[in-house]
Amino acid sequence: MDKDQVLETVCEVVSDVLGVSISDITDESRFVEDLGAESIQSVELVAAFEEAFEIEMDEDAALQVKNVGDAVDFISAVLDQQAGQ
Amino acid sequence: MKVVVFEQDGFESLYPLTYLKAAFELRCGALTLLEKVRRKFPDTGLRLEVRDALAGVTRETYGAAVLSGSQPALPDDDLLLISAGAILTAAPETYRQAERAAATQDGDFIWAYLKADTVRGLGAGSARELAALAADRLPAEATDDILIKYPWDLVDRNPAQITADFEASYAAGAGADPGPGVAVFGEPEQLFVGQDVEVQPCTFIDCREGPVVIDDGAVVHAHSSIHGPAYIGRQARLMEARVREGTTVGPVCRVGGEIEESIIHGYANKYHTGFLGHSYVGEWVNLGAMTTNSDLKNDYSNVSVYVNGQPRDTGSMKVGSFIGDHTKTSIGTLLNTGSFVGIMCNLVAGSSVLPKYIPSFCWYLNDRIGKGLGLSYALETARAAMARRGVTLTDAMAKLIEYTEELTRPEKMEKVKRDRRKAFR
Repeated sequence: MDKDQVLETVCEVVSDVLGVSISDITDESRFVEDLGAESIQSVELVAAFEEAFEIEMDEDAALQVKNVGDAVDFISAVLDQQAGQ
Repeated sequence: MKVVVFEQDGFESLYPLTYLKAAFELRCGALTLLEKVRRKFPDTGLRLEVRDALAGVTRETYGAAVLSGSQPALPDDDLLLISAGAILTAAPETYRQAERAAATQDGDFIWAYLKADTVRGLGAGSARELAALAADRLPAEATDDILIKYPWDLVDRNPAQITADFEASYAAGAGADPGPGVAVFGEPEQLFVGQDVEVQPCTFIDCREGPVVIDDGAVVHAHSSIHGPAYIGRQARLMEARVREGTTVGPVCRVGGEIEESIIHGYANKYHTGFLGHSYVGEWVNLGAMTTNSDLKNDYSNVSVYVNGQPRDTGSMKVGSFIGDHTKTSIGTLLNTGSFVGIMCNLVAGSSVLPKYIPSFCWYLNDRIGKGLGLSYALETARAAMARRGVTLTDAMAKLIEYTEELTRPEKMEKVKRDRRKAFR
């Protein structure tokens, strides 16, 4: 899965979980400050990413992901790591 | 003689209550099990032996008295070995009358008395090892002493232990006037009111079925009711609470709503309306408004509780929830009969009662068990909660919490993965 595909899926998940329009989501969109995610929604986002990409995300590491671009990079790295295993 | 209180094998049967503390720190009645030992043997040297993971935090509280696997160093003296889950009921002098060992009917060790020569001769490296040798080699003694083996044992024994602790520690100072406008039913000598206590008018206290202790600094707000036997701990606050018989509210708790035959260990909040029955609530727990637990099944059958990952018949119809330290519930959370909730969970109300078994560090959200926001977030939340009461989360406790997260992670992930198969949203 290339980064564009990861970004597309991330945006779909974010839109679904946070109830925002995909057109309002950019690479720089911050989950909390820009997209309005609260702690419960952060948990939902991580769970939704894990389901959508069939990956396992470390909770502490996932908490450091602050915006959509970071999420794309993080998930891409996990996918690469899991593909290499 | 020295008294050595030690953790036996089987402390896991008291999970989730003993993840962050030894069994002797659990509360039954007004006091913890260790406080009862200290009361019985006030002038006797005390040693505590705990599992290695607990050594740091236990040493913070009890200092050099604490032994652990890496530093057993049994005292060279006559020894009274006492299991961490024991409640001794006989007069103190009877325990040193002769060398012998006492166990439950199931053969679980409760205590043993050994002379110094015998201790040396057995050459044990730890109290646990010495207890096993003593049980094998010393004469056995039938006993009425109690061993707390499972979490529900604490709740079952609580009414009688409140009465016993009242007789031993509070009766002499009982009979004080609780203040104007407070209605007291029963003998005034069955009510103990400590120093700097405020009991507001329109409070009802019923001592007819058992004593009531309102310990130093507690505040009982108007329209609260307390039915004995009951213990209200130091600096606790009752907020229009209905405290029914058999309840212990530990120190610095803030409690409202209805509580029946339950133990709230200390520094926990159940501020608002909601029912808590036949339960043990750990430290730093916050039960959101309208959190309610079931303590009776609709078919009146025995309740089972998970012990070591397996459901165990408690033999009782009335069993509530056992909630580990630092767990939080949202408004409107419904806890199933006989629930096991680990430490540091975050439970958000779902469409029905929650699962009976929720491992530590889990979040319950959208009707499924999830991973939550991780250890760092949990520690920060714990620090914030404790700071509100002027308490610091020490490095030793943070290390223990981290250890417990690693210990419980496999069962957490098993539950998370199983619940992932459920439809999301």
